[in-house]
Amino acid sequence: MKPFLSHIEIENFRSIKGRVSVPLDAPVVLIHGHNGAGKTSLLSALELGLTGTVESLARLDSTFYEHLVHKSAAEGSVTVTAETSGGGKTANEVRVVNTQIIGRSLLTREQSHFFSERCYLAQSTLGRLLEIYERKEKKGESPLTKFVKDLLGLDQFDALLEGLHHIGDTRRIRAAIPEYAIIMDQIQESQAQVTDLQSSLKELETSANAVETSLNVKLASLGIYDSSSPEIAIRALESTNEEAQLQRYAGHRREIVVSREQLSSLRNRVSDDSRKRAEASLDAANAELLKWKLTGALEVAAYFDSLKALFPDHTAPEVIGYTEFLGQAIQRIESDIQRCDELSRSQTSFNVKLDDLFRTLRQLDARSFRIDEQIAQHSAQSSEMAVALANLLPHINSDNCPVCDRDFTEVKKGGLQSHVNRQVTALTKSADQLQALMQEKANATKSRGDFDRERAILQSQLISPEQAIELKARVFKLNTLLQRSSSLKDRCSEGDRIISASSAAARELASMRTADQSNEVLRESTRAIASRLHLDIAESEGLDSALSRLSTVVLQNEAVLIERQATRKEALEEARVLVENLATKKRLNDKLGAESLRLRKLKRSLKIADQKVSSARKLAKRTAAVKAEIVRRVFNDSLNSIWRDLFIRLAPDEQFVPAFAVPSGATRLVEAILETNYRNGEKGGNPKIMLSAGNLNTAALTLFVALHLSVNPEIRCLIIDDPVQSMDEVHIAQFAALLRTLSKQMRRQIIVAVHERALFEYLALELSPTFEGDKLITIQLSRATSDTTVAEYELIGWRPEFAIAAE
Amino acid sequence: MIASPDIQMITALLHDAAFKSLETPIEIGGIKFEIPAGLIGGDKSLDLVLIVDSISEDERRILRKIEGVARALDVAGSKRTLTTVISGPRPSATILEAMSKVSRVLPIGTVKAEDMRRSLENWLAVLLPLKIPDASPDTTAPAQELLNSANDLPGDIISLITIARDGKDAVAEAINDFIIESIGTDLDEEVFE
Repeated sequence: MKPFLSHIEIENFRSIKGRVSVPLDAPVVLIHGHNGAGKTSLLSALELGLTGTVESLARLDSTFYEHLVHKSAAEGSVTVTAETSGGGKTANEVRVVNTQIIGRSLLTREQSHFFSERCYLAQSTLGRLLEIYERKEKKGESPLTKFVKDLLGLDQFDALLEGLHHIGDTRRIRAAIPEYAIIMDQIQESQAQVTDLQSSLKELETSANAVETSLNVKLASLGIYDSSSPEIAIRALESTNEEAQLQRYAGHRREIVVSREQLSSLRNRVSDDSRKRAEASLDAANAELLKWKLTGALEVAAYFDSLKALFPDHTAPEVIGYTEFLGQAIQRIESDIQRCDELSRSQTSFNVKLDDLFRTLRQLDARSFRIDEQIAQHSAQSSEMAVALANLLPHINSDNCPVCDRDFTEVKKGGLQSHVNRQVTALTKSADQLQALMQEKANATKSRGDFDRERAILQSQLISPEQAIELKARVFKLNTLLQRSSSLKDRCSEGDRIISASSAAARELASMRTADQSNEVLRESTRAIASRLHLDIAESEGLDSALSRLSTVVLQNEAVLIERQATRKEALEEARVLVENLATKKRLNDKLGAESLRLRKLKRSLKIADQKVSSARKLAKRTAAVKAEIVRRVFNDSLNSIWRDLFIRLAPDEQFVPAFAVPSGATRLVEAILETNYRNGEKGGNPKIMLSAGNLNTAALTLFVALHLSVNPEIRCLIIDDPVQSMDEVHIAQFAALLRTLSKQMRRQIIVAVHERALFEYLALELSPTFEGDKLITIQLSRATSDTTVAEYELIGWRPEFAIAAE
Repeated sequence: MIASPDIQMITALLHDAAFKSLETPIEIGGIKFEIPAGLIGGDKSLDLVLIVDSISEDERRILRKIEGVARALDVAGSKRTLTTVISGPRPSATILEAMSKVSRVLPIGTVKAEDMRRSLENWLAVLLPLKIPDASPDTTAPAQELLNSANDLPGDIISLITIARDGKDAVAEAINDFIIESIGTDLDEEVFE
């Protein structure tokens, strides 16, 4: 068998300082080194070179890559040479610079996973295997579940199942994808709208039919037979109406009513007796009138003449009636008398006033004269003089006159200064007085002016003596006339009475004559009305009954027309309703079309989306099925039997054998249960409680080997890092035998690292080459004084045995 | 020495596993040892199996013999591994411990007749070849297996399998996007007003 691994070269990786280069191309490689010498570093380097990462460390610490380079160096490297599936060796270098891993893995992804999970039993792997008996904590998965998942590479499956979980239920889809919920809701809405529109259209149809039926009936009754469309019907309905005819009949009706009124009023008048009486009274009235004209009228006329002399514009008595005339005349006379009296009276007072005014004026003139005299006495210049003298005063210091230089006392007694003072005072007083006088004069002049004006006014209001005489004469005439007025009163009222009686009588007679005429006229007009109605009046028929008959006919016709009019109106209404109905129908149809289209589009989109949903659900189902299948396939009876076999080899004394019990049925998540079987088949409990600590180790170790052996080996290699830490000697011996079997019978390359010298030598013995071509490599790891790692290796070949005599 | 029935059974079992019986007394490096039975392993095995009986011999004597054999092997420079099968009552712990220092010890002990064969098999298992049932034929990676089972589904759904490597959130986001995309086709923006 060609070993899988050939060679490894390591530089400055983890605890390995410097360069280590060792062969690995033997069926069994044993590595020995004290704790810290670099055993685990070597095996980790192997993992890095093969898989591109160090899963065994990653399990313990996710930041493992920060500590891959030896602390004394900036970068480390690993070169692994191995047999690849293509046949032939491949060398693969992986470098670590700071925290970056640079380089590809030698194995494929699947192979790497196989290696890390089933070939390489690192310390961390063993620890994990021991944990799997732990129970599940409240949250999260149990270590066993995690172990199974890691082993089988099922994380992807669980990610798929959990990621697709919401697809399984429409409610969850709606919650996770708003657009999905929206489109579902919109489809519902749209569907509802379409249904609504359809039922609306149906309703419209039904009501339209009903209206159409009713309309047709009306149209028929109106004599319209072409009703192919409501518009045509409307045009036909509107083309004529009963208005004109109704108006004519209304006219006829009015005429008949008027005629009837006239007839009844005529009835009250026409009779011969009444006519005679009327004529007689007219004659009497006329006679009286004549008498009056010769007497009373003349009197009044004379009076009027006198009146006109005084009031030329007065109205004549005939015009306004005698009584009225007289009343107005009296009024006018009385007021005029009053006016004249007043005028006279005023003249007297005017004269008195005028005399007063003349006197006052004379007095004012005298005063003015005196003022002028006084003014003359004062000199106009006195004030100037006073000022000059006052100015001179300060210059007068003695009695010497500043002008002529003479001694003043020679002229008068009393000192010059006081004299000048006195002069100034006198002049000043004089000036004052002059001023006062001027003011007086002004006042006097003004007063005179006022009085003068008053005089002029009064004078203008005086009348001349001739005028006064005239006035008196007029007053006398007025009084005379007034006396005549009162005696005329009776005459006037008599005159009025007579005149009105006469005209009344004449009027009555005239109206009687008219009535006769009217009767004839009325009969004529009634006949005319009748003929317009296409009827006739017999000669013998009384007007009354004729008019009655005509009236009835008219009313009947009117009634028919009114009904027709109503029918026409209703029909028009219905026709219009139909037109509107058609318009609404079209509108709704259009809307229905659009909405239906939209609905189809929405449904189509949802369908496509649902197809995805259904496919996703299928995928989820298949994922669960495949997963369960994989789990079942691995954790099956064959695994259990291998495990059992191995466990018994190592712990032949143990009564309880651990096993997996996989629950049947495809569950979503993996839950494998560990149990123990009594050797005779009975079931025990969880191995943690059934097995001792040492045997738990053994169970873990054998499980690992069983897992390795239960599948086709991708990689025929088993690497074990210091596995026997808590094994007792019995187990170690069995373990060594097992390793031997794995190597010789199962043809796996075995690499084991141990720290105990004695164990190392025992294993070296146990795993010695047994046939020609068989090989064993031992590697000793140690540290030089400079802390550099030293790796010494030895290749041991086969030697024939001669110890036992029988050989 | 007459082999007891147990010993015969043991020998038979080992013969089945390609072990060859040695002539007694067993001679190693010129020294002869009186041991009830001895066998050596087949072609690929360097086992030397000694079968002793704790009934017919005192345990301390057995110990001395075993130690002697071991020393003889060492002197001869042999690479053979020594296994001692002890039929009969289990020797004391001290003796077993001492014996374990130089040999693999398989103290079968006394078992009931009906359990005999199975018990022997269990103990001797370490010497016998592993019986491995056929390993599972399938070595396809799980993801590949799933892909195979889902290859009738549309391409984008299948792609979810690969996306699942990035975790459940990536899967959820991807399927949601697919669904939103398919809703989005054929529709105007205004539908979502």
